[in-house]
Amino acid sequence: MYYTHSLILSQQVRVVFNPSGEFSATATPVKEFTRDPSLPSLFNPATDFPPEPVLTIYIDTQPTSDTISLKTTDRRAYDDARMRAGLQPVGSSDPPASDAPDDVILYNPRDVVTESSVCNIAFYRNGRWITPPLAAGCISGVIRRWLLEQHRIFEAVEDELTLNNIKDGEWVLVSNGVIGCQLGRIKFHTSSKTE
Amino acid sequence: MSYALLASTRYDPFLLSCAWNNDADGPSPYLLLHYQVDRLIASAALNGQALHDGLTLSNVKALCNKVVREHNDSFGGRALKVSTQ
Repeated sequence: MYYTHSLILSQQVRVVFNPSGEFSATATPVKEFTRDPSLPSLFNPATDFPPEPVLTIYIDTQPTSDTISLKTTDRRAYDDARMRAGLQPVGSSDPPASDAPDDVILYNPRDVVTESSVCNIAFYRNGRWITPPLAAGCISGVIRRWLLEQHRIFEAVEDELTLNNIKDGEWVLVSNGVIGCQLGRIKFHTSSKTE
Repeated sequence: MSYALLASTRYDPFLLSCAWNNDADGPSPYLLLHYQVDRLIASAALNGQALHDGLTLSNVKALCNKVVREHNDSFGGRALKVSTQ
C-alpha cells in the first residue's frame, strides 16, 4: 500500500553515537501519526475495543543469552530471532516469508520473556500491564521509561513473565521510540526450522 | 568495543500536539528525544565510554533537524511515494 504526500514528511531518525565520541544521524520516511501514539497503553483487554492495527506476534523458538539494556548497532541476536520467525532483519528490502508475523518475542535461558526484536513488551496481568525488568535482559526503551513513570505499565518481579504463563491469543503491548505504542496478539506457532 | 550506541527516534509534526512529549524547549516534533539523549549519556557511562561534551539535547536535536531537512529538501516538494508496509 502506498500513499502520496507533498508536505513535511514524518521520518524515522537513527542516531549513532560512536566510541570515538562522534555522533551521526540518518533519516528514512515513515507514515505519519494520525492519533496520539501513547493511547494503546490505556487499552483494557477486559472491557475495551482495541485500537487498530493489531499486530501478530510470535514467541521465539529458542532462548537468547546475554541481551543487554544498552541499545547498540550490534543487532545480531534480534536479527537471528527475526530470521527464525520468517522475518528479514530490520532495514532489509527483501520481503518476509508469506506467513511471517509482524514481530517476535525473545526469551532468556531461564524462559523469561524479555523483549521483541524491535520493541519493549508488556502483558496484561491482574488489571495492569506488566513489563519484564531490565535484569531479564531487555533494552531500556524510552517509551518503556515514560510508560513506567506514568504508571501505565509496571515492572514484573524477576521470572514472573515466563513462557509457561504466556497464552495463545493474549494481548501484548509493544513500544519503541519510533512507533510509540501498539497492540499485538500472541500467536503460537511451530518453526519448521527447529524440527 | 565493536559497536556503537544507537537511538532510533521519530520526527512527526503530529507530536507537536501531544503535551506529554514536550521537552525543555516546549512542544517537540521528535518522540521523547530528551529521553533518548538521557539514555545515550547513561549508556555511554555504563559502557565505559568517555562522555562527550557535545552529547546534549540541543546538539542532537540540531543534528536531527539537519538530516530531516536535508531529506525533505531532497524531494523538492514533489509528491513522494511512501510505503506503509
